[in-house]
Amino acid sequence: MKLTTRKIVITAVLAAISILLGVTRLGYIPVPNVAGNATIMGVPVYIGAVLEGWPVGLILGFIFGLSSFLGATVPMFKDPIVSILPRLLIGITPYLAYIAVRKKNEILAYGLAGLVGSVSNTVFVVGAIILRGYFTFHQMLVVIPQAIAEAILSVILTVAVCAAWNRVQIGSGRSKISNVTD
Amino acid sequence: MAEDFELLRYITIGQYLPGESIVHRLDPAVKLLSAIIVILTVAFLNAYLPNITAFVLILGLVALSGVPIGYGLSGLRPAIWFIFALLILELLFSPVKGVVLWSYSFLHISQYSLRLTVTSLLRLIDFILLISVFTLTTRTNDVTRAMERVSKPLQYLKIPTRELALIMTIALRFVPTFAMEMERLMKAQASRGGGLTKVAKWNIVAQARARLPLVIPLFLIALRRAEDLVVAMESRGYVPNQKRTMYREYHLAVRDWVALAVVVVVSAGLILI
Amino acid sequence: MESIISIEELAFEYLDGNLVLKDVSLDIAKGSYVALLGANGSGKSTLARHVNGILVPKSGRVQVAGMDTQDDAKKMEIRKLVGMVFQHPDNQIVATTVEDDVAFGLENFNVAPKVIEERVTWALRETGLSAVRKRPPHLLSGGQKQRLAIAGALAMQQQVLVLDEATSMLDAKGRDDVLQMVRHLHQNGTTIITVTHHMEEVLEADQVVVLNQGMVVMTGTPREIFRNSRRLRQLNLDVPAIAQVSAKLHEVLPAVSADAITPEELMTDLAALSTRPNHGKAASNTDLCDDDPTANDEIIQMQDVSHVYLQGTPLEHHALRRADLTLRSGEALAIVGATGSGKSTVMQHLNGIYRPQRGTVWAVDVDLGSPHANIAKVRQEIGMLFQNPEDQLFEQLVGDDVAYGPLQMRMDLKEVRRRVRWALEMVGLDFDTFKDRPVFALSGGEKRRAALAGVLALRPKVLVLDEPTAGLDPRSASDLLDRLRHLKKEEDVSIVFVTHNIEEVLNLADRVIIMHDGQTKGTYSIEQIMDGPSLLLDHGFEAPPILVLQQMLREQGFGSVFGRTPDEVSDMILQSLGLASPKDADVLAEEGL
Repeated sequence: MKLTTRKIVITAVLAAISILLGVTRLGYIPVPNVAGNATIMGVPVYIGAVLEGWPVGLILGFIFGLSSFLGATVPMFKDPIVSILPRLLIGITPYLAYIAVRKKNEILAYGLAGLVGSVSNTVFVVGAIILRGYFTFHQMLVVIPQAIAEAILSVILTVAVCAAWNRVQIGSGRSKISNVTD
Repeated sequence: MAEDFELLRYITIGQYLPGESIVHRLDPAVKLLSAIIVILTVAFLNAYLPNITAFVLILGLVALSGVPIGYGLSGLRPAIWFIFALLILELLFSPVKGVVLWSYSFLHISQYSLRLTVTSLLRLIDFILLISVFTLTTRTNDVTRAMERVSKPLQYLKIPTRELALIMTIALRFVPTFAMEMERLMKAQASRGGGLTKVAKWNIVAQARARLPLVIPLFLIALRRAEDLVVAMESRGYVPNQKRTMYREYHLAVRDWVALAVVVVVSAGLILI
Repeated sequence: MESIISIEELAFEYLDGNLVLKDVSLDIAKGSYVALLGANGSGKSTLARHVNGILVPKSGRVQVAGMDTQDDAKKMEIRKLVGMVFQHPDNQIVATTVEDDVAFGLENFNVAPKVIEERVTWALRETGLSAVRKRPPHLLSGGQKQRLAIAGALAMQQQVLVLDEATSMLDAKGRDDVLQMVRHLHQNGTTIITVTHHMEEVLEADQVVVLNQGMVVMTGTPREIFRNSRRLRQLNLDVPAIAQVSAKLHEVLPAVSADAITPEELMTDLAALSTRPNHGKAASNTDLCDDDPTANDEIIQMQDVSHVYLQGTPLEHHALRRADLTLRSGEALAIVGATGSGKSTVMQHLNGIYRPQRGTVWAVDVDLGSPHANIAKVRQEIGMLFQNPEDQLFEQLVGDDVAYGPLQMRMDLKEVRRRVRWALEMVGLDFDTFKDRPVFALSGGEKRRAALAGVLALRPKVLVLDEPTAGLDPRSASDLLDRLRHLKKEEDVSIVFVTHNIEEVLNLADRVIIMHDGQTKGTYSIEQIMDGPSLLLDHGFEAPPILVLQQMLREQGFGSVFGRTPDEVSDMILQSLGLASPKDADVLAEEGL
């Protein structure tokens, strides 16, 4: 794993955003059910994977997991097997999704990376919770609203940030006010 | 609900509690390694006895460090009802194993669910206290350098540990800077008639939508800063994957070796009982 | 003199094929102090980045102490020799404490820990940062951050220091501290290369190199360069106020040297003139002042406000002790003071970002102290633009971003479109060209104007601006000030602006509030400010040379010279000498181009 200065610094600033979203609670969107909040703290991981490749995704996944472990106030997330281990993978899956599709359509590839990242985060973490015996599969179904909210937000954010950064046009390239006339 | 723009309030990274206790004086790398060993050990304890023993020992450590226990647990306060609810759920809904102690319609408390609830509560408190003791008695720059030293053996697995430590350093250095940036974004958003407090708390779509104009610019600001920082670091002679000296020198004292030995023996003991 | 940097026929283009440097040849002598001057896009920063091999030539050669920057084996050697300080103080600090950051460069060069310790201690003492040695960098002021970057270079004992617009984000005090540090280094033999827009800094140099479109167009001492004030203005460069006055006078009065750059020099020339001023009485300016408070309605009133920041945390501090402010309808009010004097905190009370913890704020007939205050009305009628607003564009397309405010107010889309059109045109961006342009495709100056349009789209009665021109090049800055003046005059928008630039105050303000240490220290009319530099000096500001000059002129019997800009002042001098109508001189000058 060879890291360039650029990869190091981009990983670091994205990690800083992930941590900031966590400690300020801005990364949480309250969802009214027992499973608590939907979170966008994973988004820096997916963006890092798209912009700089899987090693950056792997490191960001680890840092996200670590900060989720350190900051957790919920017993099952104070278990490294639930909070850290699954996160090692969530920067790799979006990268694979991105390279698979980017030749066809860059924007689609960003969106897919966001979607795959978010879904793998949900699946792997929930899987770890079930494996560790905290809850059963059926009980874990309550997280579905969170999972959907997270997936949508991940797609929007990954597309918006990656497209702006790589200067790729999104959609028609027309602003809302262009659709009306004077 | 009043608007709150003072984000630095939430940044407690680097909140060092000056002191002269033995825990303060231990080598940061020894503290970090010990914390990792203890956390991994406790994560795998299932029975009552070792869990309670570990809990008592950690309370002893807190006393030794001079960190006020309320301060150490202060992170729990905002989440206390949520934790309570979750523990009740765990108690009533965990898979039924062992003797059923109480049941009412579809609710069951079994030996298994009771043990799981008690041990996960203890584990939660254990970890929060351990992490508080470590971060409150160690300066941030010592923390990242300790990470670097502890992970050094991983270099043999071709893992770039020094670079990883540098990533952590830069990340921690930029968290407060980005917090101030975010503060300004929130104020600008509010000034233009938007804002998080304008939307209902449980309106998921509105809550999410109000965050986009904050988070997207923050990402772009961060990436732009990264470009500048790359040039600055290379100008200062930084080359990744290359030998560099370390400003701070650390020498392990006898107390460090003793502490490490105690941690290893106690952990082994906890696993065996 | 031995040359330390030699640049031969350097050409460079970025990946997009844009030829930034065309043919630059330059020799920099060891121990010299060189200022690189040029408008945005002239290639000056690109040139600076060639000096330590961060960029390497496409063709031509750059040598540092005899080493070619294209030779990879010499790369580290060159970086060891050349230090750099960049524009954004925050974007060059790597570590979580001051001392660790100074050590970063030394670690990279494998310096032994013991030596690092000594050098860090010494460099921090030299830069006056010993007291903040263990502090995290985000708690430093801008000036301290830049001195930290210099400390990093000092610790490396570097022979060349390149400053890339290093003072453009600093206030007067921060800039002075940094300049003093640089002067000190230069005296001790360090070669200094500074890229700057600031004329006072150019005056520090012993050699000036002016770049335009990737080529060296002028070289010489500061005096030689400033003599060509019209040429400099053609190149979109700023000229020191006094140099502008003397150049203009020189056209009509050849006896006045075009070289004068200080008020004293210009006065010596003027005093020696054979023509004497035709009215000899020193006038006072105060009778010009139409200070009738009853004539205007008060649109914002702030009384006895104090504010504690981060209450109940270890970072708690008294940002505001006592602030009073009145804004009258239709005026431009400046708030001046050093960093940390509380200007930004005052500003953020005006539209309810902060509510008064003590005291009262009434804005557009809303009591901001009341928990039931109609904040939406206040936010709509009082538009606020924060520092570096180009970082606060929310949407991906310019049209959508300008529409953000009106859309939040759930306006009809047609009305939104009308407002966006008006707002974009007010800031000089063509509606049809810019409405669908991605934000990332804008230049720095365009972004700032788009941000202003986003605030204007709410059709505010009051515009509140924090450092509106900070970080802009002279041309964009004066363009922005022109637009603000237009808004005030033609659209009846009242303006409150926070600044540390007195020339900006003279350009735009009707009244001035001076702040110090969290308190408002009085409100003055612009006439009172112009009555002489003593008022500013009493409040701890530096006196702008243009005011010093006018004070001297009045004392020397040049009549009532009260000009806000160098042009006004030179016209007034000529008038008092009964000489050719300055308008004609202007026309001649235009024809001469």
